Amino acid sequence: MLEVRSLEKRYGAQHAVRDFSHRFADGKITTILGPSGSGKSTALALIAGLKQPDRGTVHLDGRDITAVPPERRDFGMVFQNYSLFPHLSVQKNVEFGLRVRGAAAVERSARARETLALTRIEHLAERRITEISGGEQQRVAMARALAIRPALLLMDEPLSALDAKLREELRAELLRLLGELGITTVYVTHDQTEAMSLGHEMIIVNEGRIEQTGAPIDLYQRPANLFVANFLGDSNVFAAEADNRTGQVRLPFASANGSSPDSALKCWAMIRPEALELVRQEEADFSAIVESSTFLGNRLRLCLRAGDETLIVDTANRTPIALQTPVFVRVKKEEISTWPR
Amino acid sequence: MRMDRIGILALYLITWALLIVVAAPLLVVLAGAFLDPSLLGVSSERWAADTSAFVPGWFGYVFALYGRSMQFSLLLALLSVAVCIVVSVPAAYAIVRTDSRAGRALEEITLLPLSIPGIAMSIGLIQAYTIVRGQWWLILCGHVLYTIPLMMRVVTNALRSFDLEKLEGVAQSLGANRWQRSLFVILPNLRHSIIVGSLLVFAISWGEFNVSFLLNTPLHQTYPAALYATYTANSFAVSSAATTIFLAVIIPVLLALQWIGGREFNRLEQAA
Repeated sequence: MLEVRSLEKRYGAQHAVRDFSHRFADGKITTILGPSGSGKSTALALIAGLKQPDRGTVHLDGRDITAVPPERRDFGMVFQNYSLFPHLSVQKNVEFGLRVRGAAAVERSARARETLALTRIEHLAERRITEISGGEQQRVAMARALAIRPALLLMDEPLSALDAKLREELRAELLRLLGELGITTVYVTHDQTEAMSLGHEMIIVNEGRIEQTGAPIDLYQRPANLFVANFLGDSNVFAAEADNRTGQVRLPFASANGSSPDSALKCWAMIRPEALELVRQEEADFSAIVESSTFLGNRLRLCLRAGDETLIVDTANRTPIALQTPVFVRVKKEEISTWPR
Repeated sequence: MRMDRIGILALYLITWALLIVVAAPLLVVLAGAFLDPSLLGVSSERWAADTSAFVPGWFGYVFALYGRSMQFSLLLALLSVAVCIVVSVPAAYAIVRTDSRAGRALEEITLLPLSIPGIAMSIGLIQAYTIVRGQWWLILCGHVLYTIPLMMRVVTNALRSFDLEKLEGVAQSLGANRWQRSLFVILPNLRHSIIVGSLLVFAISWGEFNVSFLLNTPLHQTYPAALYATYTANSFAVSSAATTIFLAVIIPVLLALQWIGGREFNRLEQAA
């Protein structure tokens, strides 16, 4: 099992990574998600050994490997720009790890073919790197990392350079492949969809620190703090008040259901766009005015004004709604998250 | 339509005229090298040309008189190439890889000799290293100072054209140690640039006159200095033959440079 304890990396006065501790589940995919500059790639480089931490340790199966150079860690790596060796053919790229390990030519070639078959690009073996497409290059990078039968697979934004359709296709393929191999994978990305769909577990980082870890669905439904709530998925966040005794949230724009001000706690409240429903007047919690409506294919996204707040609402009913139309909204109360303000 | 035709015709004419203007001196020189001895009138060289009959024209005479200079210049050029490779490749790697302020300063400093006139450089070398004046390798130092900036530029540009850190990181994760990374990843990708740089260095060293002339000694005369001597002391036929030999060495190098440089460009275009 891979474990990192209190990793810290500074560049000058700035912390790239701090207090980074986590146990990575064996045979599972852990995605590290964060905005650009959040230190997620640095964290990966620390795990790989390509950078040395200023503090903290990296452990593999209980053994401290912080001082072990990357070439003796047996971790496969895949980068965003693939970093294929431009002077070598596809097959020679895949053979590289075996070559520096002194494997015999016959064995090298057999293993390379086998791995290329696994990533479904056997037919490209003799091609030059410049002669294949981006998606194919990604598969070569994958095969090259897997050919050494690594103890761990580290991926740094491996699909970011591809267009949306190809990205989706390769994501599914990656899920199949990694599932088949059952290899422990750490996957860094800034793409939420990727992080949620690939990760058995997710780590959300911001400013070098872990904000929250857990299964994607838990993080989405129960964000630990405002940052996670804002960052992961779309959300409506606003200042609200919660009743001291009942815990019920008093929304600033739904003035009807009021509790006495002296028993109220100030808080931040977050509601997902899909937790708001358009209903008939008698079922509604509040009313609002449609400010914009955007057709998104499978749903309609409305931008509503209620009091001083602007709310986004997703609805499966895709009938266009005229601007400035008054609408009535119900809140799924159990899906409101709150934090003290 | 008519105007176009006339325009194109005019372009052709101008191009050909320019070509003739540029090529004519070369043709005159080439012809001069085969000048019949009898046309020179009474001259000590006439006798010399008659005795070296197994080489056509005046080449035999030039070889006999300046053969040592040729050898010396060839040796200098080859050594300059060797020194430039041995020094520039590791230095360029260190500068690009560390990407520090000190590294960039060092890079600027290595470019400095290009901006210093040859005379100043030579006198500087003579004054700084009085004791070794007259040693052949002081000339080598001069040549290296002039050629190293070019080699450095070519190699640092090549190193910057790919993401060295990631490329090495991947190689490292695949198990390659420092030597394996240099040998199997970095050097193969620098091959073209090193060849281009070497041809440049060779061409410049072979034709370098300023430093060569001022640090010249009777024992160690470079070929460009010898050429100068033929222009001042020998007949037109002899200096033509000497110049032809000079060109015969440098023109293939320049053609190779053009050819490989073009291929390298195509390769980079493809990769991008």
